[in-house]
Parts: sequence; structure tokens; C-alpha cells
Amino acid sequence: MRGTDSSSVVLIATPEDVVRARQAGRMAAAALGLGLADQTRLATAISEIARNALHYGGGGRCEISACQEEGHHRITVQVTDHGPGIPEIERAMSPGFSTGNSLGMGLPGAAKLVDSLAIESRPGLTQVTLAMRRKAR
Amino acid sequence: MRIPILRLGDILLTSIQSDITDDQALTLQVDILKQLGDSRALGVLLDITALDVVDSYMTRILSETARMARLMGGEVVITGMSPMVALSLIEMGRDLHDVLTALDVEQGVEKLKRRLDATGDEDDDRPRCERGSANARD
Amino acid sequence: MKTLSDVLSLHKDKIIAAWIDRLAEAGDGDSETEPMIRELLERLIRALKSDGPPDIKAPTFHDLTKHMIEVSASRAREGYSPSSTGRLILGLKAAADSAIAAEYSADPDRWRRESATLSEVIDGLSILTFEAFMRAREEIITRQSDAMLEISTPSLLIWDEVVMMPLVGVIDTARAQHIMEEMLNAISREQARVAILDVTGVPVIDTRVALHLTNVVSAARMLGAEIIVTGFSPEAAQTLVKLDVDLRTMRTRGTLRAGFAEALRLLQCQIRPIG
Repeated sequence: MRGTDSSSVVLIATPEDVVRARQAGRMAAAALGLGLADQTRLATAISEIARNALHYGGGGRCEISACQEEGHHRITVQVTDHGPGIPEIERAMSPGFSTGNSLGMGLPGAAKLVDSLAIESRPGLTQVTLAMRRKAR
Repeated sequence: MRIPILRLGDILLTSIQSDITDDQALTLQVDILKQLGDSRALGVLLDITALDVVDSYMTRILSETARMARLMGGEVVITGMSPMVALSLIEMGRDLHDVLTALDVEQGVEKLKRRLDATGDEDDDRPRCERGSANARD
Repeated sequence: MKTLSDVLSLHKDKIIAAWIDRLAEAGDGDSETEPMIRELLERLIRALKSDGPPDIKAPTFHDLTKHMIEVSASRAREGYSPSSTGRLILGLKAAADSAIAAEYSADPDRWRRESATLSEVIDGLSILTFEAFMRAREEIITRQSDAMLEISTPSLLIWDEVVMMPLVGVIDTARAQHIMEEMLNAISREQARVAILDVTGVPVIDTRVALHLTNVVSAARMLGAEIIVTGFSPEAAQTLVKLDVDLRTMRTRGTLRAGFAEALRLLQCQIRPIG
């Protein structure tokens, strides 16, 4: 059994939208019955990547989808922006990396909170996808 | 909306009541430091019970505020962090460096008072706590 | 000539009797067996009767396979062995043999074909049965280990503002996660300023467990509480130092008793004899 059971989209254009995106992630996790710890992990990870889309990508969209697979819940979050792209993904993923203004991208931290985090980036399109998979209860 | 900061004797009291944006967090930092300079308060109590997400940006704002306040001779205590927020922060590899914390406002006030007593200029015979930039105010 | 479905239908009672005999020989029969296999056989007859191919993946067999899966899962839950559940369906092959022989003896080709069909269907069903049985067993195991996780980490308020969590047994990653969450929740719930984590009953503490311990200490500090870890065994101490795990930030005491004394010291409390 597999299929998207629900999905929601938050457009990211202002700092308020970053808050909206992370709260939408928390709600999606809660709706699947995930515990408070996982809700917080997901919301925090979304917050990091949504902020990057706003700061470095000039805004973007965040799509949160949930599906069932073989007795597991899977939440996938995809944040897309059309900014200049992340020049050095490997460096961006190493702790302590920041782009000029002393504010790191928070990507390594976000990656530690979820099961997988994948980045695809080129000038004009950056896509960060993170996923969390939990046993259904 | 600005987050109100109350004054209670030597202590400034402020409470974040809902999830806030990066801009609001930065405004709060500026407001706290300004009030600390304007009033003769020695400590700041920042209650974050209602914050259900604290990410790298918020962590930075919180610990920076504490360090800035300390340069001005004040102490910041963060109270009421939710257990799962603390867990997420640690898992991300973040920490609130050098920031005093307490479980709730009551314990926070107590901790702040103890810390302030220990650095008061007339009380030389009291046990001293280690303090990063002690006597910066004296 | 009659179809396979007709043959099974015509000799239904005889087949069921032979089937039960075979099961009884293996010691598998009980009062519930007869209605259960009757139901199975009837569904099989219906599935074979339809025009579709005799393939258990065909939609015409859906009703039969669904029933078979349910029977198998419920036997797993009731504690039957996998072999007895397997024999249940395999018993039909031999039981139907004589009926098929009687009907098709005039046409050896047809005889061979029909018994091959039946045997193929039954083989498919028995694989399905086995899978369903294993799945049901796995579910039981998962449920039990979840339940164990819940009861294996109690947190107790042992003094004003002091909680204690005794850990017993091997700690894997899942359990370590659970312990951390429970410890932090207990601190917050009880407004505890000190928490004691007693690891006397934990046989092995490796780098992973140590990492979780240091994490929970840092997280608790962010809440405004101190954690005291008590009861590291000599083996644990050796391992941790040899592995170069940095535990300098961790407050440790040898025994639960010493840990409790430290907790009281942190709270600036004292226990004194009366008078």
C-alpha cells in the first residue's frame, strides 16, 4: 500500500511564513500520531530549511506530504526556491559553515533531526527534501 | 506585535507567548538590551514556556542576548524551555552556551537573585560564584 | 466430464472427513477444525468454479486468499505452531486425491492436469499462509517490545525536586531515545531541579549509550536541572575512558546513595538524626 494520504503547501515570502511552515509540519506529524519529540524535531528541521529558502533563495514554497507504506508513516517535506543556489553543498553540510553573515545554514543540524535530507541545487533552482519515517501505531 | 517587558525591582520580566518570527526575536533582543540600559535592572528573566520550536536562529538570539546583557553587567535567565525543545537542540548539536536556565519563573527568580547576591559589591564575605565578566558593572 | 470444482463439490463431505482424519493423525484436530476447513473448501470450490485461471493471484481467488490470511493470522495470535498451520492447508492435497482419482481415472491426461492444478493452488495457499503467520507473529513481537519499553523506564519522585530513574538491562538506540524523552519529561512534570540516572543495572555502556547520556545531561541543563549519573561499573568506566568518551561535564557518583547525597547537597538540604 502506498500513496499520498495528505499534503499541504505553504508559500514562503515573509518571516511569518517560516513560522507557518514549521507549524504545518508539526500539525502533519501530530495528525499521524507521532509523539511530541518527533513533532518538535520535524518542526525545527523545517524551520531551518524554510529560513534558508527565504534568506538565500528570496522565498519559495514548502510542501509537506504524508503517506503510508508497509506499516510505516512517512512524512516528506520539500522546500523549493529559485534563488542563486547553494554553491558548495558539501561545505554547506559541514558544521560551522556560514555564508558571509556569520549565520550558518543550519543544514547539518536539520539533517540530524530527520531520517534523510537531500539537497539538489543549481543556479535558479534549489530543492531540499527531508523525510521522517516512523512505525505506525 | 512587540513583546512586553515588565520590571520587577532589580529584574526585567518578559515572556514569549507564542511562536515568534525571526524579526520579532531580534526586536525582543534589542528591546531587552535597551531596557536593561535604561532601567537599573540587574537581571533579565526570559520565559519561553510557549515556544514549541527553538531552531539555530533562535538559539543564537537567546545566547547572544545573554552574552550582550552580561557585557552590560546584567544576567539573563531563560525559563520554561520545553523538554522536547531541549532534546531537539541537543540532537542538532546546539547548546545554550553560558546561559543560565531554570525550570520555571519561580526558580528562575530564585536563581537570578542568588547570582546577583553573589556578585553584589558590598557582600564580599559571601560565597562567590564564578562569573564570566564579573564586576563589569562596578 | 466434470470440472475440478464440481468434483470437489460432489465429494465435499468425503474430502472433509479424510482431511480431518489426516489432521487428527498429526495431532492437529480439534472441535474448531471441521467448520474451519469446510469454510476453506467451500471458498476454494467457488474460486475454481469461476472462469478465471486457477491462479491464486487472480481476482476470483481474492475471497479465498483473504480468508486464508485471516485464519492463519488468528492461529498465530492463538499460539498455534507454524507447522500445524502449514499442515492445515497441505492436508487437503492428499484428502482430495481419491476423489480426483475416482472421477478422472478414465482420462489420465485430464487426471494429471487437474491434480496438478489443485496442487499448484494449494502450494500457493500454503506460502500465503506462512507469510501471514509470520507477519502476525512479528506484529505481536513489536507490540510486546513497545509495551516493554514503556514499563522498563519508570521515573520516580524521591524527594522534593529530585527525580530518579533506575535503568536495568541492555540499552539500544530505541531505548536510549525513550529514556531521554522520559527523563526530560519527568524533570519538567515534577519541576525537579536534580535528576538521578542510576545505571547500576546496565551491563554494557558503549560509545552510543554514553553519547545519549551526555546529550540528556546537556538537555536537562537547558531546562535548568542537573543530572547525576550513578553506578558506572568498573567495566563501563574502563570502556568509556578507553573509547575516549568525554564525560567531564557529567556529574557522576559511584553509588545511588552517594548520588542522592549529592542531590541533597545541590539543593542545600541535609538529613539529620532527630534530637
